[in-house]
Amino acid sequence: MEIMEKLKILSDAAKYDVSCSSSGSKRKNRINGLGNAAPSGICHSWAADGRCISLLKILMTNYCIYDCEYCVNRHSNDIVRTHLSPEEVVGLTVQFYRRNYIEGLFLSSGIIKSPDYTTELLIKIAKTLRLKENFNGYIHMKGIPGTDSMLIYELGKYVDRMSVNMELPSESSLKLLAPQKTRSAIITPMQFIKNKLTERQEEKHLVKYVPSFIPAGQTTQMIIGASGENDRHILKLSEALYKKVSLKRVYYSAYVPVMTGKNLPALQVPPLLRENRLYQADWLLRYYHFSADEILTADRPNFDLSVDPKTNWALQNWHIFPVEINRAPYEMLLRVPGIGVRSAMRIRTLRRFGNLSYDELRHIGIVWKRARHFITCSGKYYGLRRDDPLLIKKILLSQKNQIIFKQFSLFEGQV
Amino acid sequence: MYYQYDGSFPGFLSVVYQAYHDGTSHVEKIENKRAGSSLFGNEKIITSNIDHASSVINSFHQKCGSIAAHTLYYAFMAEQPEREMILFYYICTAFRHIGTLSVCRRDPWIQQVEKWSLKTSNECQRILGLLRFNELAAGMLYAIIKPDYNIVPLIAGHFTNRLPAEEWAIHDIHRHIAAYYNKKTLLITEITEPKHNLDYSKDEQKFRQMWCQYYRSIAIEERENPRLRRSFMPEKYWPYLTEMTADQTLQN
Repeated sequence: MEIMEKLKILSDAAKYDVSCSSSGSKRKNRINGLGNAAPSGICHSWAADGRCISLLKILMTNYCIYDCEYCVNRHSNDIVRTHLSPEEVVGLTVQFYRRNYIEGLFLSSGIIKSPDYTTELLIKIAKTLRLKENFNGYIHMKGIPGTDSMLIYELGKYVDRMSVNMELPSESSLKLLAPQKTRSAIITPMQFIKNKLTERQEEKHLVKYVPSFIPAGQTTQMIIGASGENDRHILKLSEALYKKVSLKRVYYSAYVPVMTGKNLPALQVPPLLRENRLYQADWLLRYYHFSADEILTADRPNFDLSVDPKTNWALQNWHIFPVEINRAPYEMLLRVPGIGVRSAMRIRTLRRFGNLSYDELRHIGIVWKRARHFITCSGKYYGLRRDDPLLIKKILLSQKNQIIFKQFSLFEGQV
Repeated sequence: MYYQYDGSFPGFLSVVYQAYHDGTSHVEKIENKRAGSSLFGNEKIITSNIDHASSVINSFHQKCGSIAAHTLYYAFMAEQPEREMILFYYICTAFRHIGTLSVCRRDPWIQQVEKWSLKTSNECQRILGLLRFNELAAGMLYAIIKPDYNIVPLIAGHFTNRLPAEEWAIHDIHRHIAAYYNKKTLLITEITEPKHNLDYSKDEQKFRQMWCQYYRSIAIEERENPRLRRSFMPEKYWPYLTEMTADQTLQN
């Protein structure tokens, strides 16, 4: 098969992998090698669906011994199968990288023979790139559940980031939709990587040179909407993953109904809004000092899709608001809808030198039309209703949907 | 006092050096010579002097910090009209408030300078991703860009770190300047006569097609969102992107 054809099939099969970030690694260019890693990550293009393309995201092969019901590459699906040889992967990566098309390689794979065998092939590719081609760009590879720890360790020496996919948010849905995968097989490599990374941190204090091991950390991904878990369950799981195995990111992928199966829900369109709300809540967990229990309480386990989680939280905890912008502690500023991390920090710096006035506040970079209902500035409230959270919600929604309050018609009901 | 300079950053700093010795309160206007001659002809013409310029920028960096120096340089590179007096004001203010420049963030002119600097660095970041090299027959990598701000000198360093073993050139076809790297040294120069008929290497077309193929197949049709794509990747950059000019073959 022509390499063009292979590229088409294998990148098409890889497109449901969400992660495409290239951040977190400070890998330097070794003498006259090719490439380096940019710590902030660089996006090189954006596909027609608006997702960024940073890495060459591709499967090594779409042969797979597993039969996960939601997956296009499942064993029982009748599609064209192919695989890329290590030379082809390496060649493509290097040539694309030289032309500044990509930031590095994101290699995933279907499972051939066994997890161990597949990981060995991945190691071979990573090694060729790093040692033979002297390639110092970003490499992200999939950790395959059920792989031996020593192989994971070997692979970790050459890659910048590794991800073991959670796939589904609970053990029971795994059993239903991906019967060959188990929770423990997924958690074990994560735990192993976490332990190794902590070990490394400690070693760094003792010795000068510590060989590289997954410098950009590990991530995971789960599918949203293919099984019946509620949002609170998912968010609690993410929180636990961040805390217990110190993941860098959890990716959520709205289930795209490409497959039909007896255990799969019959969706018409992927639940994109729900995915978006989950990401927003995820950000609240990681950057805004929220806990999952605050964002979604036990009696309201699902997101209100009409407003974002932070606004939702603020409306439900109306007794705290409005907060005084010149006095409120930084942690409280972070919790005001319409104020982000940057503007909160800016407010904190500026108010050291005197009270912030209305004019200054307007130029500070906060989303005024949202924030104004939740703050006072030097004691004055600029929002519309101080006493009624429900009305504020209505106002916010009408602004969003461009519905201005409807004028009464004198001739209502008449034709 | 009216000053004229050659439009370069060292030139501007030389003006600042001169103005400091003439007394900063007398500065009325600093003009870019390229913008045309002034009405009265009584201006002082300052030629750029590297020693003067570096003494200004070094002391600025030392006293006001690297962030302020970065802001100054990037704001200058935004090439906004009437930038000179505002930047001059920025320098004076920074020297006056050593260590406490953040107090002045409330000043609208300082905010203006920071905004320019931010715009330039945003475009830098964007172009780092959106720049596309094409391989020429001799093995050199050649990229064309048309940025809003003068960012070629700002992004060249990134590529010297990244591709030290390649020969490459980045050409700003709007300002006619280019960064050229010959595996050893980096040169930023003006291009007065661009060469038109470029010979591309024999594999170039193949890799372009593969990249276009990849670009098409990585998108999920069910999630198509042209507005989102445009907001990340404005259409003004499309003519220079390999994947967006997919149907055109290489023009010679």
